[in-house]
Parts: sequence; structure tokens; C-alpha cells
Amino acid sequence: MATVYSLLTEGLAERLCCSPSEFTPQTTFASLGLDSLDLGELLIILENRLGFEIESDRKIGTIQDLVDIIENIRKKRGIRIPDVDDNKNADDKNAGGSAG
Amino acid sequence: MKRVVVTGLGVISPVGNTVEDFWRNVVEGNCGIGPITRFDSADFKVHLAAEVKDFDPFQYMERNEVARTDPYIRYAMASTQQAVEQSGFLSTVSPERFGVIFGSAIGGVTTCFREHAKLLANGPRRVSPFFVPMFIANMASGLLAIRYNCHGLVMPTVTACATGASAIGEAYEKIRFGLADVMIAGGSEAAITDCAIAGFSNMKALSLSDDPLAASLPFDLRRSGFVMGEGSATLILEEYEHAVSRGAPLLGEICGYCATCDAYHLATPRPDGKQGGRAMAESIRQANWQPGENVYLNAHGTGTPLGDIAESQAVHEVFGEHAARVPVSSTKSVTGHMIGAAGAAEAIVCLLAMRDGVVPPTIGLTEPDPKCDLDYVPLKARAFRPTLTLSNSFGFGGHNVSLAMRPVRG
Repeated sequence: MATVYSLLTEGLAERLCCSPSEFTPQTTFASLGLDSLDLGELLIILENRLGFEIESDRKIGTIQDLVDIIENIRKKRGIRIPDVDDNKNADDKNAGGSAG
Repeated sequence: MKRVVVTGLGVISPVGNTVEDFWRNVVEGNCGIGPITRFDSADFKVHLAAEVKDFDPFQYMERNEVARTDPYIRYAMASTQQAVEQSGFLSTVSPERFGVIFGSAIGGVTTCFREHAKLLANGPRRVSPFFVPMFIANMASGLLAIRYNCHGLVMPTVTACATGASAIGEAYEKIRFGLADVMIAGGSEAAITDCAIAGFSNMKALSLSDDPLAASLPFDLRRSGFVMGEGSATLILEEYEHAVSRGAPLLGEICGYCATCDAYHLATPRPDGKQGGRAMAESIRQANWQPGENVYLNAHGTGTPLGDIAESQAVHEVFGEHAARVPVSSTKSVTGHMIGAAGAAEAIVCLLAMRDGVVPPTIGLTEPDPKCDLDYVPLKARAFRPTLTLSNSFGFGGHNVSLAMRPVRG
């Protein structure tokens, strides 16, 4: 199932030519040797995948920080991410949830 | 004045990604020119280039460093790492007495065109924040300074096809005048891109030949322009006493450097080659040339109709009755034109010619041009031990650079 976290780590892995399994939510961008320009590049990769701009004044230290920022933007603006939300709905249905 | 020796060499080239592979292929005359693979050249008049082959940037850089650098910078990091390792100077020089003069004629054009395409297709938000640092032509020198902790003078040279030679000459003078103990010097280029080839082609600067062995033809009657090449070359220059005291490899001595300008036309050389000749004359004067000694000249020799004649005339003017006894060859017949890297790669050729007592050939030279009437060492290398070598590099903008080198004497 795609999540914002998995989309983010896949983008990061693509950038760093490595596997997404090397990261955890608490991984800091600094520990990966990434600076503010790298983060800007990562945001472009993510924006291409998500289809909306990721603008925030919040400090981004860890992968989870960025996930939270993206989720907040989604919530505020009511943006759906097909890969994430459709899968979520399907999972909810399979689990007998009330979605749909 | 201080003496300046060379203690490390490195090269990434169309004919080899180590100094010894490069040198072997230059001496054997194994041509590095082939069909363009970097883009589809079907609609172009030019179909050949001298591309670097089998280059693995991960051999020299961390994965994120590779992602945030243009190919011209990757080549620079690679050739410089080779040179730094051979020299072994790193722990022996204080960062304040250590500098970098390392140029690129064009800079990161691969990056430039890619990001421009993103701008046109998807708007400004999609342009990489690395566009500027990957594109600008000083970034190879900047990143080399970061990697090797250099706090002295760090700057690029940008003198078109003379870029690499300008870097060596300027670095030489910094040490000669006592301003530094060690300098990283050289040039890098990675401009085999569609728009760059189109631009050079429309200047009528490039050969239109489809035969790789009959495309880069310096001094040959059939010559019609150069073949775009690429790569990087680095020399470590070091103050003589500094190098000797630490037991460094002594690979040659820089003995003369002169830069002049044609002030004539943006791309066409002065037909009489006078300012190029003046650069040569001053360079060998500094090197204390003695008539009768064994001199080898590595020509600029790009294979353009006017340039080769002007350079040949200049050699006559400088060496007079001795000109016929000076073997002259063009490495570009083998490597194509490595543009900003050419001057540095060809300085390496001069140093290795003195080391091995062999002068490399001008390959493809089967139909001599009567207006080019020097000894161009056609087709095959020759046993010859120079006591003085000269490397010429001339660039668009009228830049003329000549470097003189000798074996190191005690």
C-alpha cells in the first residue's frame, strides 16, 4: 500500500541510488548528507508525484517532519492523492470499514 | 623566482580514463572518435564525436555528490583524484599555501539544457535548485577546494579552447612568484550535447566527416574542422624545494608560460599567427631555449583550415631555420578536441614524451597540405628525447597560450 511515507522514501531512494528500506521516519536529512538544496530537489520529485506544491515555513529535520507537512497541506486543502487514498479506501473496504 | 615542478597527473579522456591508458593510446594512435551516442544526431550534419567511454563516477564520488554535479564536474573530480593520489602532497601543505586554478570553457551545459527543457515543459517550479551550482563554470574549482581543504586562491579559467593551458600557466606563476606551494591546475569539459554541437556546427567549426578515422585531420589537406571531444586533465604543480623535501615524484618542470591575445575576431585566428607566435617565443625565452637542442611541440592543431596554417607559420617565425627539426604533432588527431581540458591533457602528453623519449604521432595525416610544411610526425610515434617541450593552446576570443616544459634537473 502506498503511503505518503513510502512515496517520500521512494523519491529519496531514487535520488540517492539506494533502497527505501535504508530509512526510518526518524532518519534526519543531515545524517544522509543532504542539505537545503537537496531537500529542494526532493520536494520537486515529490511534487511531480503528488501533483501539488509543498510549501511550508516549518523546519524539516527528519523524514517524519516532511510527511507531517505533506499530510497537513492535504488536510487543509482537502487534496486527494490517488495512489494513497484509493489504496486506503480499498484496504478499508477489505477490512469491513465504512469508507465508500 | 621559485622553480615549479609537476608531481601528479590525472586524466579522463576519449582514449582512456587513466594517465597510462591515455598515453598508450596517444602514442599508438588509437583514435577515440566514434558515432555520437549522447543524443540522436540523425537530423544533424555532424554525427561523430570523441566521447569519454566507460566512465564510472561512483569510483570517485559519493552517490549524492554524483546526483548534484554536472558531468564536467564529475570528470574534474576524477582526474584530480588521480593526480592528488600520485602526488601525495595532501598532508604536506598548509591549506593557506595551497590553491586551485581549474577551468571549463563552457561549464555545465548538459545541466543547462535539461533544466531549460523542464522550465519550458512544466514551468519554473520544476527547475532544480542545483541548476545554478551544476551549471556555473567555477564549480569544479570550488568543489575541488572543498574536497581537499584548500584555503588559498581558488578560481577557474575560461579561455575557450585554451582553458586548461591558461589554468596551468596561471597556477605556475602563483608558485613561481612565491604565492603558493602547491596548486591543482587543469580543465574539464562535457559539452557533447545537441545544442552545443548544433552551435559549433553552424559556426562551421566542426568536421562533417562520417569516417571516424578521417574526421580529425590536423595539417592534412582534407581537414575541415575539429571533432568535439570531452574529458578532464589535472596537473599538480609544486614548488621545487617543497617537492624535493618530501620525496615527491618529479614528473617535469614548467619553465615558461606566456598568454597573448589576437584582438582580431571572435572566432577566427589572425591569419599570420603573430600573437600565437609571440606566446611561443616568450615561453621558450623563459625556458632558455638553446638552438640545436631537442624540442618537441605539441600543437594546438585542431584541424581547422585557417588555424593550422597560422600555427605552422608561427612556428617558422619562432624557430627560424631550426623549425624543420622540431617534431610537431597534434594530439587532437587521436582525442578529438577536449575543449577546456585539451590544454591540460596536451601538457601531460609533453611531460610523458620527455619521460619516455617518444613523440606521439599526428594520425590520419596522409595528404599533407603544402601550406603546412613542418615535421608533423605523421601516422606513427617516433623515438626522440626532447629536452624542451612546448604546448600550444589557442581559443575562441583570440586567446593564445604557450607552455614550456623540461625534464627536472637537480
